[in-house]
Amino acid sequence: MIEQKKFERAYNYAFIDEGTKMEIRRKMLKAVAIPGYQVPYSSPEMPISRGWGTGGLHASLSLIGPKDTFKIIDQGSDASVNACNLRNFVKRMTECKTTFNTSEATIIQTRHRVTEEVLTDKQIIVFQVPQPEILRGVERFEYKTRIMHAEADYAKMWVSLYESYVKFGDIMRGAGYPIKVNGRYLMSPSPIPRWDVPNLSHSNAIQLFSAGREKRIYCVPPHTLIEPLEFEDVKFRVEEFEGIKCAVTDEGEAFMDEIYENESSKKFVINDSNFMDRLKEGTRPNQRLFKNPPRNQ
Amino acid sequence: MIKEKNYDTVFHSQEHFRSVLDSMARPGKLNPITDIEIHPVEGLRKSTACVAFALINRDVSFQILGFTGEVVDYIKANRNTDLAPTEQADFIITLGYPEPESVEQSKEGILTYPETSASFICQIPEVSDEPMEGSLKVTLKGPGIPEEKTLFFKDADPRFFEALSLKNEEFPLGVDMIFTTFSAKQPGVEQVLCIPRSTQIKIG
Repeated sequence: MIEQKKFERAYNYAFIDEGTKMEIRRKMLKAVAIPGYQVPYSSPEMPISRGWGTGGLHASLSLIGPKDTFKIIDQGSDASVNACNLRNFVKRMTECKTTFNTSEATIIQTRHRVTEEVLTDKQIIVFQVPQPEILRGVERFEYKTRIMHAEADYAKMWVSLYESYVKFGDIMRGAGYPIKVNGRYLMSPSPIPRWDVPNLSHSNAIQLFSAGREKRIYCVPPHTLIEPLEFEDVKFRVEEFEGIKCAVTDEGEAFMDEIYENESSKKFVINDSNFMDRLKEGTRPNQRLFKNPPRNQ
Repeated sequence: MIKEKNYDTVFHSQEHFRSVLDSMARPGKLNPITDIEIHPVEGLRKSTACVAFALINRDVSFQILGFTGEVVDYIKANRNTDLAPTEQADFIITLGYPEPESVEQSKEGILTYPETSASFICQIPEVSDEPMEGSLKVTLKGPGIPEEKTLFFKDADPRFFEALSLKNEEFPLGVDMIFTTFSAKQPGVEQVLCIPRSTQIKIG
């Protein structure tokens, strides 16, 4: 007799099939064991286009279980279109709890920001990465960048930074500043602002970076040294918001969005939406602030 | 051969993987492997079986050292995969600490693709943060460890740790170790502990 079997849901738990999840998990373990090295992985088809956060979804969905609390931010905001839709998708596929509260989340998926609030050792942060290869700007061929990483030969990147300084008087890299992981691999921190780069170093949380279109996964384990590339006399600096206050909360010392209201006036608003909500409630979460070195002359 | 009926490939593997990932990211941290109702063949602990089930499938090969043929059949039957020689295996499951020769023989990857290396899953006696009788003191240092982590491995062979240090000397080449162990203080609790290739090992 033919039995009619009704499945509870149309998809496997967390959308991705178990064989592929297992493959991504194995690659994640390798990425953790070799900090900063980009491990190639399968990057299965997802119901969104590649390059729109598929990498982050692969990592989050391979990690997530029913006990997890999921938070997703896009440029610091819980409410942007990309974040909302991916949050709804993850919720429908996993039935796990979702939150806006940074300290409550166990898995945080992020695009282009690290949360202002200090993460704990119970949390995993997953970055959506558009271009994992930091050397792509100076070397177009994959087989050559692979050899450069193997030999730790980063001369071209140093020259590019030097040229930038000679031409413009500064290292002209705002987002995606090149960093060195544990003194070995050069790595792209994904297009996070310079403001967030020092917070990757010696973090409490596991930091996974996943690029869906480029099919690469890499990791900065907790308590790992991250050094932004800098010269002896030209130091790495973060964005300066001296004397600038948020228009909503009237607080400073956070990464700000610059909003132009009309041709003559502009205002600043804190970029991290949950951080701003907490400030409005009257509590300031713990932050790690980087102090810029003094400028030459 | 027993095929596990109670093992949930979705939720059990997810839970056990998270324990292994946390241990791998924080070398030397003992994470519990949740107890589930499976019945591994004699000699194989539940935690070892769970870690193997969470990571091994048809896409990878494995080798079993020190265990009986029954264990080989059990893993084969449940994971539907084949044995490979030690020099080619992606996962090497050992009873007790691996022989220095097998660490030496295992795949270490190549500089352009260091991830094509072997991982060990070793079922070992007790490990503790505190000194124990007949234990070997090992100090770990590296990414994932705030300063240093000292552990005491019961009945450990220093030759194995020497071989592992030597194998992982030329980072990023090397092998990653996953140890399954148990706690003497909390009977019945099985744990997992990892030493990735990025960790520096000091014996004594």
